[in-house]
Amino acid sequence: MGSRIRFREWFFLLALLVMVGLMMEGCGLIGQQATGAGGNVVKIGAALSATGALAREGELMKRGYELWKDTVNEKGGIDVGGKKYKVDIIYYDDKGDATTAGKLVEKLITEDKVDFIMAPYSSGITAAASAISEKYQKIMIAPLANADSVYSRGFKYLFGVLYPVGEGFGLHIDYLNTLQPKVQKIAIIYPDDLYPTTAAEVVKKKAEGAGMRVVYFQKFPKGTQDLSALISGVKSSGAEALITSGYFEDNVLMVKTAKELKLNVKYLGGMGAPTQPDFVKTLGKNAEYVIGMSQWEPTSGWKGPFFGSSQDYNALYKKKYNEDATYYTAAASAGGLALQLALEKAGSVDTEKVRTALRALDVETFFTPIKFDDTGFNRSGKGLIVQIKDGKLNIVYPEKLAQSKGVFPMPEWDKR
Amino acid sequence: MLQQLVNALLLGGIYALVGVGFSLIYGVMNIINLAHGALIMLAAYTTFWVFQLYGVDPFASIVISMALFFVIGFILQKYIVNRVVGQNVLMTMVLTYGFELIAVNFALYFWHADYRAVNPTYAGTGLEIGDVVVPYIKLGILTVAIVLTSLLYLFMTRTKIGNAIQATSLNKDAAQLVGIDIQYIYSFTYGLSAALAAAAGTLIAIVYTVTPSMEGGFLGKAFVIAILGGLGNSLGAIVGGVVLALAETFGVVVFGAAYQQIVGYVIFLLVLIVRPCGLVGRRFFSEL
Amino acid sequence: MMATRLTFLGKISRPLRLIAYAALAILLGLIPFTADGYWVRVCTNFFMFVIMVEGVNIISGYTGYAALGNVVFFGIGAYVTAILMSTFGLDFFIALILAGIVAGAFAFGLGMPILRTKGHYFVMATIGLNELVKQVVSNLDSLTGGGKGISLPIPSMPPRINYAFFYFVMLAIAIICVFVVYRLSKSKFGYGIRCIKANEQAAGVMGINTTMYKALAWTLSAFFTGLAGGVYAYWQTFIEPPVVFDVVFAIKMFLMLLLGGQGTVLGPVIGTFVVEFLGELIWGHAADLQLGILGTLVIVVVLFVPQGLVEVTRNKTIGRIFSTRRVKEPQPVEF
Repeated sequence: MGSRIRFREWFFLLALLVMVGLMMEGCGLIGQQATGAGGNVVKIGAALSATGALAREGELMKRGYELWKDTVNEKGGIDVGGKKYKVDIIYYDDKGDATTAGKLVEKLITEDKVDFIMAPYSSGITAAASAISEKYQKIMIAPLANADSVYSRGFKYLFGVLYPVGEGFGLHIDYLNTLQPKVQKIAIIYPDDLYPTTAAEVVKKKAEGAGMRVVYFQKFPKGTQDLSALISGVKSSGAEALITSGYFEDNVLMVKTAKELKLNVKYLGGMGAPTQPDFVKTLGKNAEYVIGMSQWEPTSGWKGPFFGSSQDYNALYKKKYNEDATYYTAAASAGGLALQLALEKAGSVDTEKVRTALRALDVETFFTPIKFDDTGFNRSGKGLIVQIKDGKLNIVYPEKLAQSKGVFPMPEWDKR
Repeated sequence: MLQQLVNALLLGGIYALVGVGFSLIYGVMNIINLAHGALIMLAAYTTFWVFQLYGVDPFASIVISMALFFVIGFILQKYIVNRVVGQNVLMTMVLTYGFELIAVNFALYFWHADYRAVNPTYAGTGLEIGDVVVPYIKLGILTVAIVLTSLLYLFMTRTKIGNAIQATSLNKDAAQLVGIDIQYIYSFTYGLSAALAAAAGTLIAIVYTVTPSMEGGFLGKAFVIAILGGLGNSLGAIVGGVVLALAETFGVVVFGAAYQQIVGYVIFLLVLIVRPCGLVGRRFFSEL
Repeated sequence: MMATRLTFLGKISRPLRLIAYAALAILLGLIPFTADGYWVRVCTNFFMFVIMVEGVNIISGYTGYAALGNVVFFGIGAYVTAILMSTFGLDFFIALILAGIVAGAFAFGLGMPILRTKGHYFVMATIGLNELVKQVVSNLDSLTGGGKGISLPIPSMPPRINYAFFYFVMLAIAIICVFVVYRLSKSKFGYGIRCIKANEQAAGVMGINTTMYKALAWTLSAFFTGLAGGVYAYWQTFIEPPVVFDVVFAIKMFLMLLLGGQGTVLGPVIGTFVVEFLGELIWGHAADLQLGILGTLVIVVVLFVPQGLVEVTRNKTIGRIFSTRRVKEPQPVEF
């Protein structure tokens, strides 16, 4: 018993020391940071998921921010009123959790004294985090949050780069309308979460407006591990097309289960997941012909200042990360770019001036055109429908940008 | 409808595998092993790497991962958990939560959050009987689940060490009096449970996406399955797994997919309150 | 069983002690006006956990029923506040009190059947209850917004005042909560529930209405937890089911309780302090390894300080630093 007690004493003393250390840090006695002493630094804060369920998306976003930052700094910085400002980004891990994200945004604003905030991934977390930045009247650029409800709260300092979820996801219906023979019955399944629910509801309305019948419309619990019951339901509903607004794992599970249960629909569509490189890696040959919705592809064909064209951006990304860029990364870079353009135009790092400049922004970039409406939402982009062919993404819609005609109806599982 | 029934039975096989190891540890040592999901996750990664690097089929590598995780479990129990076993149920539970955190951090640190999957050539193929499709993989998993739980049952009832484990779980002090090395039995049990988690993880790797955050959902299922089947009851795990799968599947059919889990949890709570020894169980040490 | 009353400035005279308390009060009162907003938030979070951990302490530490799923009341409190404020336009404080009452009533109603289960079955039942309520809330779309979450009206105060407001509300509830637990520990009711923990059958034989005592203890626990949830909802202005019914939250609460010491008045405060502030330190400096470090800490705590930090102060050497006074209390009768 004796030695054990001694250990406890040590432990307790250690705990005491740690507490003292914490208090000292809290009072700023140690680890004090130079707060923009040079003056020529734009300090940006970003809370992103490095752990938790959204860690992968968080990583892709971080690459986008980093690519923008590095490119800016290599070119000497942002030209603000004749002075060159370098970019510095401070990252924290929000663990995919809204509360933590809120806490971190406050830390970034009050402790790290950042000038601007880049938002986390997903609409739900951004909704929580932006409430904090709005309070402090700091500009938050949200590259990957596009549920309408995030912007309908009358916030003045929040800017969303990605165009609205409904319009993007609704492209599935636009595309289906161009296909022959016409699809009459569609099934929609989605997890119970802010963004997927919004998307599913919008697309349902749109499908009905286009004269289709939504024969199966089901919400499943977030993070479900089995979809066989739903897929069987889809099968007996006689749907010709199945689309989901779920996250990556939901999409993968949907395709796997559809194959397993021999659900032969003509059209199997998802949200952003099929455009992630992991999708083909995970599903292999079964990923073929799956259709996804992208906000941006290297072949999007936009061009604009700084990064040049979509292709140029992709080349830059490829040089660094050895794979093609996804819209997650591109959107993050575009968020940075929007801020950069506003800074240049404003000629000042003052929040109010930059905010006015952001509001007035109307420019085509490598990502999409960017023009924020009164709610701070960029509605001017255009989405793409892509299909996986030979393990690669092919743009099939809109026709103007299509690389090849889509394969429709998709071949039955047995006949591949 | 028939298809839904088949779906439920096959899902039940996966659930049984997930639950059986959790139930064993819980029944024998009264430990709510929060690391169970993490063990499944680590085993899924082991399977992924063995498949990716050496092309070993998961149904074959299951032996490797079970052996590996038996050793890991044995060591964990012997050197760490045994120091606090038998104390307050909270202590051991929080302790295993510590394991879980470390395991998840480990996976994130070394393998990042990338989504991975094991894709054997027969993935997605299945037997067609009329309108009903029976996927081979899930059929295989159900078979493995039945074989493993039956083996476990035989092991517990027919072998000396199995009897010792049962004796220990029924009455620790009496078992000690008749000369059973409790510490060893505990370590062995944890090893066994970890090996079963490994079996589950190995096969789940073929069905689901492998990520560091996959552990949570399975842990929740393990809770329900263990209670439904009765703690420490190896055959009960099959019953628990199938009942849960039936409840969830028909929850989808009858009430809609959104109510899938509600049905499962309502049954769970009712069983806990009305019949805590499980649907098929008898009273075990832990209720005393 | 002996309980230790921890008085940080044990043997000094009463006036001096009052001065010390006053100093502490002034310090706590000054934080929101001097510290960074971020630290105000960390402190508010700390008070919130104090409330929840004391809540768990009542049902788990004193009564011996380990309500792991106690976070369910947090979620209920948060949702009741959110719905009352955003849908019915009620004032925050009225909504908050109602939230606490609803959470308490919920615990009382469910306490009767669920408290019948014992030991780890109770642990499991509360976890199941939490998951169940979470799923139900996710599906009552028209009332709760379902999985889309629900937004609360945003308070129209400038940030500094706004966060100071939440700081003081949380602090006030935390103080009340600690005080209630302190009174509880010396009341007849407190002895009753401790008796139940020691030996429930014996307690029944002695004439304690065990069912009622247990249900009341859980009601009290749920009331405070619900209040914490209510303040949290207004503080965050946006809540969704996975966040306010988070099991990880629940486990963290128990970690704090174990670390500080179960069934003590100040244990939860100390445990929460260490975990919260240590947590801040860890992820500020080692983001890659934060989970692993927390996990290691958990294991170390369970292995080496299983009775909690409050117990450590009883130890002679370290005890002198704090000077503890032991209060003898009636021992539960053993049969």
